[in-house]
Parts: sequence; C-alpha cells; structure tokens
Amino acid sequence: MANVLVVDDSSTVRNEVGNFLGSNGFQVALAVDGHDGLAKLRQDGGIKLVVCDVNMPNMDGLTMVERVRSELGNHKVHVVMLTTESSPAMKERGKAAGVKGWIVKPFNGAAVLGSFQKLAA
Amino acid sequence: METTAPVIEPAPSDAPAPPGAAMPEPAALVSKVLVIETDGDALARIRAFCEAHGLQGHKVHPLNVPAVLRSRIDLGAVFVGTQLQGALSDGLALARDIAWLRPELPIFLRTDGMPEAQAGTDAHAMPRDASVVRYTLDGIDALKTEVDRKIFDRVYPMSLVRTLGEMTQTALASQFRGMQVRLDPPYVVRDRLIHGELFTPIPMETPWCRGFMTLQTDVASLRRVVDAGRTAFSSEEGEDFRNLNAILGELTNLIWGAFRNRFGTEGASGSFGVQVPIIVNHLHRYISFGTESPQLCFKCHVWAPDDPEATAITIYQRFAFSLSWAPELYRESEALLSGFVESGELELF
Repeated sequence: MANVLVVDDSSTVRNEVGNFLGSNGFQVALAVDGHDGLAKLRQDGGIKLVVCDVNMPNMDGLTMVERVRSELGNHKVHVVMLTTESSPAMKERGKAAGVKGWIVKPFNGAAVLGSFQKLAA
Repeated sequence: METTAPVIEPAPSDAPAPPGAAMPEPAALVSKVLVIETDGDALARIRAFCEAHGLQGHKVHPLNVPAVLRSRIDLGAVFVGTQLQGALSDGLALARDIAWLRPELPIFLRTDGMPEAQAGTDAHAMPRDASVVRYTLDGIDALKTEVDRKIFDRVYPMSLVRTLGEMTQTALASQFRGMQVRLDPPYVVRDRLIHGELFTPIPMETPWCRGFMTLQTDVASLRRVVDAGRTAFSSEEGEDFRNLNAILGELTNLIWGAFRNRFGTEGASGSFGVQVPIIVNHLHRYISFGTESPQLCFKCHVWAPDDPEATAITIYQRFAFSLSWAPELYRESEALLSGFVESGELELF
C-alpha cells in the first residue's frame, strides 16, 4: 500500500521524485497521466499525498484533481501540483479544486521533504 | 577569424506598432558562413566584410566542401568565387552543387573575371528555389543589404535573447547533476539540419510570437551522461531509449514552462491559429517548419568538470517563430514577474 502517488507523464520526473521519496521512507506509487492517477487513487485508499503534474496527455492534472473530489468523493487526500506552470489563473483553478500546494519545476526534494512528510502522515 | 557583431537594423513588420510602443533594443547576433575562395585579395576583402557585418567566415578548400557540408555545421550562407585555383577550378559548378545540396542556403557568388555571357546563363542549372546573389569585390559593400535581408531579416530583442539563454541554462543545470553548462553566443542559421538522433519540437506561443522550439542532441553522448550517474536514471535504465527520450523531453518541458511563465500567453491565438505542416526527412536529417526565415539558435555545452572529455554533451536549441513574429509587441509578463515564486519551493494554499 502506498502513501504517496506521483503523477507525471515524464519518466524523468517520476524517477527523480519517486526515487527521492522512496529513499526518504515514503511508499511510492507512480502514474503516467491523470487517467492513470485517478485509477490508482480508486484502487488504493491508503494514499495520503498526491504529487501531480498539470500538463499531461489524456487527462491533465487539474482535471484529475477535480474528478478525485467529484467522482471519487475523496476530499481527504492532499494534492500538491509539481509543474512548470505558475500562472495565477491556473493556481486559482487548483485552489478551487482543493489543491493544497504548488511547486514550480524543477523539483528540489530537500526544499519540500518536511512538508511532504507532514502531508503524508 | 574574429568577428565584430553588428547591431541589427530593425526590419519592417507587417503589424503596426501600437501608439507609444518602442521597439526593444535588438540583440547582436552572428551567423556562420562558408567562404570558398582561393584568391588572396578576395579572401581579405571578404574577411573584412564578414567582420563588419556579423558573419563568422569559415574558409574551406574547394575539394573539402562536400565533407564540410556533411559535417553539418550550422550555416547562414555560402560565399563562392567563380574563378578558383587548383584541381577544382569551376566555382560556378561548385555553387550549383551546393545549391542542389542545400537550397536553403543563400549563395553569394563572386563573378569577378567571369564572362558576361556565362554569368547570364548560370541560372538555368540552379535549383528553382536557389537564392543566388552575384557580386564583385568592388561592389561587396552593397551585399550588406542582401545579408540583412537573407540572414538577419528578423529583429530579436536583446532582453528576449538574454532571457532565453538564461532559462535554458537554468533548465540544463537542473537536469544534469554536478555538470557545468555553457552557451555559445546566440546565432542565426538558414540551415534546417537536425543534429544527432534525438530532437523535441514544442510549440511556443505568446501574443508576439508563434512557432516552435526544438532541442537536438546525439544519443551516444546522452547515454554516457546517464552512465556517469548525472541524471535521474541509472545506467541500466539508460539502456531503454525511452528514458533517454524522457530526459530531453523534460528539459524541453522546463524551458517551455519557463517561457510561458515569463512571457505569458494572454492574447495568444491558441489552437485555432494558422498551422503549417512540419516536414521531417530522416534521410537528410532535415526539418522544415514551413518558413524560409532563419532560426535563432543556441549551442549548449554541458560537461562534468572531473571528466570533461567523456562525460559531455552538446545540445542544440533552435527557435523557429514560423507562424507569427511581432517583436514590437514583445514584453515580459510583469504581472507574472510580480508574483514570482522560486522554483522548487512549495507554495502552500
């Protein structure tokens, strides 16, 4: 059972973030897009934190978050967006969907580890 | 050959500048040109011309021209003398060969000593799309207009070029652990060559530009960098070419995102704007974005300080603003800059 789900279409990011979190005691699951992420969240009720890209094929990250809340009725899982996007409009949409935090890529594990540990507890 | 980069004169634009808008300061760019001459006086005059007008002249022996063209140096144009000395003396025939091989390259053909009748008939053997400008040494200064028209035909604002370089350098440094990054001075090319086996085109769009960026590199160098433990992948994972693809893909994504964040997308025409096919010919390592306009290029060197020979990679970055270009409307997104968040840090809502 995982407690963190990393959703990104880039295997570079999945590897980088997944390896970092795995080496710091997290149980990590990976998903390749919003569709996959939604399916993983449906299957695994133990996931406490989702680290999710915005721009992905098939289903983008913000749509995934909206559907996690509306379709799955999951309002407990914390979602942090890890993305190149930083536009205020995009962040507002994230806030409205219940996104907890926003990180502009590139990923800096040391800068966010403490916060991730609290969110996944 | 040392060069003095000129300030490029603003080119006329289709779109009128809005009232009060000032043209941003243009960047000083260079372009590499091949010089095929055996006459000492002509070489000296051409060298002086290149130094004065932002051209990096690369002299090449006529017999070596095919090899040089195969080496895939990024070029902006070719200077050829019609009267050459040595085994390959027919410069006009050489110019024809180059024009057939690389019709996208303008050819500046020096016709001193060429019979008038011959000068008038050479066009028949040239490809229809060839761009050939004839000149004599006495009239070489008049070539500046043609150089500006065929090579430096676009104004690239200095702050844009500087910012593109900075965001590229930042992205490269974030993806290759413990490696040094250096960018050559930016330049423009008319070539449409693909460097290496791996390239990533991505649309770039703002209210003042529409086009594409590509990153291009060779797989063997990237594989060595992975093997040296400088990326997110292990050496075993590097055996899967898809993971090598993903490295260049994420680099492209980072630069694309930084571009959007810096310059904004408000007012861009979106997916309903005009498009033209992108044509790739793998046999000739050729890519066309459907425009004759020169592309803005950065050549990026990344190397490991402790092993600079083996663990090093060159990445070519090209911007082809092929669908729209209005530098007079160029601006950075002040609203976005005022809300700037350091990358990598978590902003909690």
